[in-house]
Amino acid sequence: MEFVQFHPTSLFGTNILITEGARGEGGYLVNVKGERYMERHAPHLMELGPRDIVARATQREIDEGRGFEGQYIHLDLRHLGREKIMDHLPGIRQIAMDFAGIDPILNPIPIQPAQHYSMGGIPTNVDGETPLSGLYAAGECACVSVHGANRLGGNSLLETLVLGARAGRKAASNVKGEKEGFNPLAFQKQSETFQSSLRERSSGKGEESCFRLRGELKTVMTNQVGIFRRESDLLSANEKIKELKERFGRIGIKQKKLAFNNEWIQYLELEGMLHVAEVITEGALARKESRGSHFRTDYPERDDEHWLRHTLAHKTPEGARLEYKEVTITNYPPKERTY
Amino acid sequence: MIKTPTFFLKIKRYHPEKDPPCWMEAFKVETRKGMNLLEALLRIQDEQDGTLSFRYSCRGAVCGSCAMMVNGELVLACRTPVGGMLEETTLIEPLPFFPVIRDLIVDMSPLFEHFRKIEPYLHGKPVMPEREHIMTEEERKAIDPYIQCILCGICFGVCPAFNREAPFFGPAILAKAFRFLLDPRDRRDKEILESVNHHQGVWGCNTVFQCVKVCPKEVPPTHAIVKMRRKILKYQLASLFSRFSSLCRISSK
Repeated sequence: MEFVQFHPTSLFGTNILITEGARGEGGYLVNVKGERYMERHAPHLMELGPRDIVARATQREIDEGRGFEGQYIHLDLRHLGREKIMDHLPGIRQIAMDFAGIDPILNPIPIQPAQHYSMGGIPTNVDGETPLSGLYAAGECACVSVHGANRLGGNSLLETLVLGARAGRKAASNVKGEKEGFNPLAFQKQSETFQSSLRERSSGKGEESCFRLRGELKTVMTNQVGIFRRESDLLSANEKIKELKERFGRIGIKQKKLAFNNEWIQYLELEGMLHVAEVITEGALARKESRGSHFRTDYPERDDEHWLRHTLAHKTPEGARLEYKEVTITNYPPKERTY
Repeated sequence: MIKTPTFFLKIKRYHPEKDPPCWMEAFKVETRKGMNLLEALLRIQDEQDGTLSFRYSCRGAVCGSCAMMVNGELVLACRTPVGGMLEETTLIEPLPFFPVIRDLIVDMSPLFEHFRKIEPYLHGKPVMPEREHIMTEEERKAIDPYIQCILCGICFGVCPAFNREAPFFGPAILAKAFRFLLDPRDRRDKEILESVNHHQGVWGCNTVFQCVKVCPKEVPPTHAIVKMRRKILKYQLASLFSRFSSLCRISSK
């Protein structure tokens, strides 16, 4: 779960995705000094470098004071001309106009890197089966391990078009065959826990509120478990997540019924976010190397000898317990990345 | 620090279990630069009233969930900046002509029932596997305006025909039918025209172009409707003509 992909170009402020296609068509990334800074980071590929490299380069420009207003970079499409922009990137133009009030034909688009995709997820086989019999996963929440430590643009299609269908077919055929080991009571019990948990929550006083805790979690994950990671930050993030988990227990919910209960939805989402944040942080703390999207400023090199392996996290009352699994290498062994 | 302007809103609320079930409620939100209406509503839900209900998902004008009526106009909340609405209190109401379920959430099942009826997916012609479906750039461009639809329901909320009778297919659905009619890869042709050739289809439209005016994605449903009417008439004329000429042949024998 420590492999979280950051997309280099999201619209500054709203973080709506500005497609890679904008650079594919020939867009430039420019800092406040007017430099195409990718020249320093990937001189051969420039703006078309891999996502992790362009995202890190862009964040570094901003962190080192070469961003606009200290916060963003320009994605300049103006030299492509009106016709090409209107014909090839009409959606991007509309987004920039609607959400930033900027027409890319006339002005550069303000962008910043943003969290984009989780390479990690619930471990599944190619048929969507998880270690928990009867539970299937497909899509971003799943991890079939087709993306390694860094998904390539467009490869989510594999999950939406292929693996989703495979999981559905497998689930259907397993139900027909009444596969052994499936325990319907487990799901029934979970549903009862769900209902009684709402009753319990809605009777409490509620000194804490979801949106405040969510805001604090967002800040700590962005600042300390983001594009650049280091031990001291990860340790302090871990502490903060523990504190938030403890405060989470004091959240109260006013509405007692299930229909349109936004508070209850927010509560459940936050619970999931806290667990996921913990697993990401623990995994990132343990992985003392840099690989794909996971970058440690204190361990900037890839270390295949110790870390060419999958992290598996298990939920325990004390928090996440990590285990490791060997990687199956098929046709393409990892090699040094030079661009 | 400069104080940010305050955004005043009045929201039409609805909860069937309350007495009265319908009421108007005033809220105010501190704004920030570039704030949009969805953000303002989310802040109210977070900080002031957790029971305020509305739909949203993508926050980027692609999912079509947050359509609502703002000062009498139909918009997507996520791409409506509050900056232009700070002078007076802004009135927020649910999408009209659909039954309200809770606050700003309406029952959109009429839209989706009609949507299912036109089988809105490619019914492909048989192809050679190695060539698949080849489409020219011109053919793609012809479909383009109709592909943009996000099923937000805004066009239904201004449609006099849908207001008159819920069984009317609605602008978005007819535009979608036209999209498949135009698609050279789809084997249906007559079938699509037959499915819209009635008063709940293309003939129910008042051709007042309201849907074309309000569509947040610039889909032109009325254009699609008019073009389908023409095609239907052409078909009917052609079959009338062939019947007439065969009749002439018989009588001359």
